[in-house]
Amino acid sequence: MPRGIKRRAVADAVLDEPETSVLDVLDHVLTKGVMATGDVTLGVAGVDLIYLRLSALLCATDRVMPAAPRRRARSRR
Amino acid sequence: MKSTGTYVYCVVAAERRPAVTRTRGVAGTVRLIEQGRAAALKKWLVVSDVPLDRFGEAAINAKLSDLEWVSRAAVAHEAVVESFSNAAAVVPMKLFTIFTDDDRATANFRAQGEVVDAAIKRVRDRIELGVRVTLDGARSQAPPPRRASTGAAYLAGKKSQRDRAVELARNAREVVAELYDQLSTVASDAIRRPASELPIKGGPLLLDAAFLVPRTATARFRKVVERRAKELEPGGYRIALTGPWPPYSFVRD
Repeated sequence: MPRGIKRRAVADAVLDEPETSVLDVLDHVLTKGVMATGDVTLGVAGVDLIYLRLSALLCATDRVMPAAPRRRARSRR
Repeated sequence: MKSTGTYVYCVVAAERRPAVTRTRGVAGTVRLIEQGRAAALKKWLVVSDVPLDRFGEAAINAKLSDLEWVSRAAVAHEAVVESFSNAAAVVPMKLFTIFTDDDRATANFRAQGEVVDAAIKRVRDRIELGVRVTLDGARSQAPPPRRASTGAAYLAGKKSQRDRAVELARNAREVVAELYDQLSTVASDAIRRPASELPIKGGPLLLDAAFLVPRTATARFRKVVERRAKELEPGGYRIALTGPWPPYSFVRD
């Protein structure tokens, strides 16, 4: 199914913001998710801090991350 | 000394053992560790062996400022979790959840059996969708006061500009609250995050919400978002929909 094309035609109103894709992934995997604290990584402190720092560098993030085409395709669905 | 740890991506619950379609993880080869049952479903931990010289506590702490490294790990983690999205339920872990070995990982999840089972029940046959609303700065801004010929006119212009801004802010709050409520009725659960946490291009972030949506209602949810996006677009509101995500926002109590 030609998702991208169809979505473009619908309206610019449902915005696809591919430049936020890696940040979205970071947001999910760093600030959400469960619960288990691995015994090896008990002392990996300040995951929230990493996130804040990373989000401040959002633009740079996407430049260094050519490896996320999947997320882009999916967010257009 | 043992040189690898057990990296846990997620717990997956399904009727039958799922195929591992994404074999490369953050490091090492992705594999499953059977964990018994949750109601009628079997459970597995999705793991890979990661070298502790790169993924030990000290090594990770030292690398946290390396944006590219963390981003690659995050994308790899997410890709593994997503590869199980066809299973009945996926309970994703946070990035860098690493145990000394399989036994320690299994013991940890056994100890949390009830919590995991409750999460599985909550997210079964559901996906997460993210909705963000921003206000387009250019469209929503009050026009500058016209060049005033007198001091009084100038002040009046300033006042009307300020009144308009207040009015816009009040409207915006109402609009997003209504949108959130409307989308919540299509979803099983919803979470609204305090706005402002994410730096967003294109104007102030008015709504940053996640919705847990039954797979059967996903199309309907998208239609509602699209319709509302079109209706709100002339007012300068922009709605972004992301996902489907594994239910990251709904696996904790």
